[in-house]
Amino acid sequence: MNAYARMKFYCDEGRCIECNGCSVACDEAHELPVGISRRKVVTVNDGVPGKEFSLSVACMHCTDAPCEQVCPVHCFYIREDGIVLHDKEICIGCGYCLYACPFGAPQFPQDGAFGTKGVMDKCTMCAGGPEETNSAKERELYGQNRLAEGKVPVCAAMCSTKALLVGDEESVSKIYRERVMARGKGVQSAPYGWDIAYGNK
Amino acid sequence: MATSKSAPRRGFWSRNKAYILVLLGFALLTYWYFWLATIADIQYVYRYFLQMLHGNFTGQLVPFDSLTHYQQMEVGLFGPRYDAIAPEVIRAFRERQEILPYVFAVEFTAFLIAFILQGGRKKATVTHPEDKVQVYSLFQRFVILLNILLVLYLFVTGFSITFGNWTGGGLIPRYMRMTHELVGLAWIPIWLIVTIIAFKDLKFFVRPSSRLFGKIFLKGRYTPMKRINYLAFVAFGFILIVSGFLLWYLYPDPKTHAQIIQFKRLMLFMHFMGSAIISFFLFETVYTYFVSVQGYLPAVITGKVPREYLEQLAPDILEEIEGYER
Ligand code: SF4
Ligand code: SF4
Ligand code: SF4
Repeated sequence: MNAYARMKFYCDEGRCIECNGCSVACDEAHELPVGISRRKVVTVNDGVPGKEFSLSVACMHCTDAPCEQVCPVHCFYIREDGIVLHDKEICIGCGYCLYACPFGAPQFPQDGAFGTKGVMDKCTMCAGGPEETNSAKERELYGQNRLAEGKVPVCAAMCSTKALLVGDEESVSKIYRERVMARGKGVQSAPYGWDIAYGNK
Repeated sequence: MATSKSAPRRGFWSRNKAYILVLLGFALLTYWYFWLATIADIQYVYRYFLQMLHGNFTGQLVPFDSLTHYQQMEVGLFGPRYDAIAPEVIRAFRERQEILPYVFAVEFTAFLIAFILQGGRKKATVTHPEDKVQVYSLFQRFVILLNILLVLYLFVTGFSITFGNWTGGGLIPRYMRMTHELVGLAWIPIWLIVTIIAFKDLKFFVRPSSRLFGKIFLKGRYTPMKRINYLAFVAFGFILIVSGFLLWYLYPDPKTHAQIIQFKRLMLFMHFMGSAIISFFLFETVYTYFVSVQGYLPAVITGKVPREYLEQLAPDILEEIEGYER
């Protein structure tokens, strides 16, 4: 049996108020360059009364991650707890992971000559990268490694309505079930994106 | 001097076998690519093309309003029908890394067999090497050589991405990928100029009467296989340029992701298809011009060729040049 908990995100569209706190907190905490948005808030049916809702989305850290499968230089690695990370020193910035990702998570700085892409950046679930934990280089390339410090990822920590949750699968699923039941809807489906990201695993 | 006028009239098969064989090969390849090697939803791709004709490029074939709340969430956030095109990119990826070397090996073997069957390289017997004829103008040499260099660079850097498992990634492969994009942009005008000047069939409509005509348009007439090479260069070059330009221009943007990702996936699909097919014709061009006949590269570098060389290997070019001289 896996000794590690499986880490997952869940965003509750019934609670998200499109304040963009998660996305701004992520940008600031990791000192992301302009144009990179590891987490974004998307509003569906914008302006349509009764149908409008918002969701915060970033890398879902998929099981059998499609990005990992297509990367031609094999720069991804998946931790025991399911967090999908990659090595920026190997990445060639080809963008294949973006085409393969169901969630639009990979981001590319447009800092090359004539608008050529730089290397890929994405949500690390605040877990840094392959460099030495909490080293200056890890921080510079991947941002904060909050998990190593025992902290909650900053986007979920900053969410004022607790729409955005992150944690081990069982705890997140439990909260999801409780919330849906409390709204009197019964549990018909998994949280958004879970079927695509994790299948049944 | 042997000219096409004195050649006996050949039957339908021998006149057209190159077209028939290439069309057959192309049909098989298309069948393999679209129906066997991909798990892209071809019905979806077809309907997507039709929808684009009406100006809708999102790839959302069913009206957004008709979707359930949950489907709207997925489409609104991630774009339409993830499983329609993306799995092709995923699945064919490993196949490309593993199968392409075999495909290339088979192609090389085919050209090697052709080489042996035709008895090695064709050579001209030149007894008066000083009697040379100007075949290529400075402009033509510049364009042809630049085209060769850029296409070679794009080929190497393009496949350096596919064969990232061999390069192992890192700084140099990253620069190769970046320069693939920039050199690809630079190739657009060169592709266009080559398309125009290498349109030898123009001579079916216009008589090459002035010297200026010969300085711009390449001399001689196409054999069926060389015509196919030219048409493949134009057609698949066009696919590569349009798809490559759009992939570069439609920069990943988190705000517009859902609207453009499916179109980008389709463009990548086209770019892969174009590069896989044009590679065959690239090998065929290298074989026809550089391997099977001696003397093409020196000719295109200096612009001049011994008269006897033309008499023996390219009488159509000599005939045209003599037409200018008269
Ligand atoms: S969400 Fe995208 S980037 Fe993240 S693990 Fe899944 S496929 Fe990879
Ligand atoms: S952009 Fe980088 S991480 Fe993504 S597929 Fe290409 S090499 Fe791999
Ligand atoms: S987990 Fe960390 S890196 Fe990922 S979106 Fe949240 S703040 Fe950004």
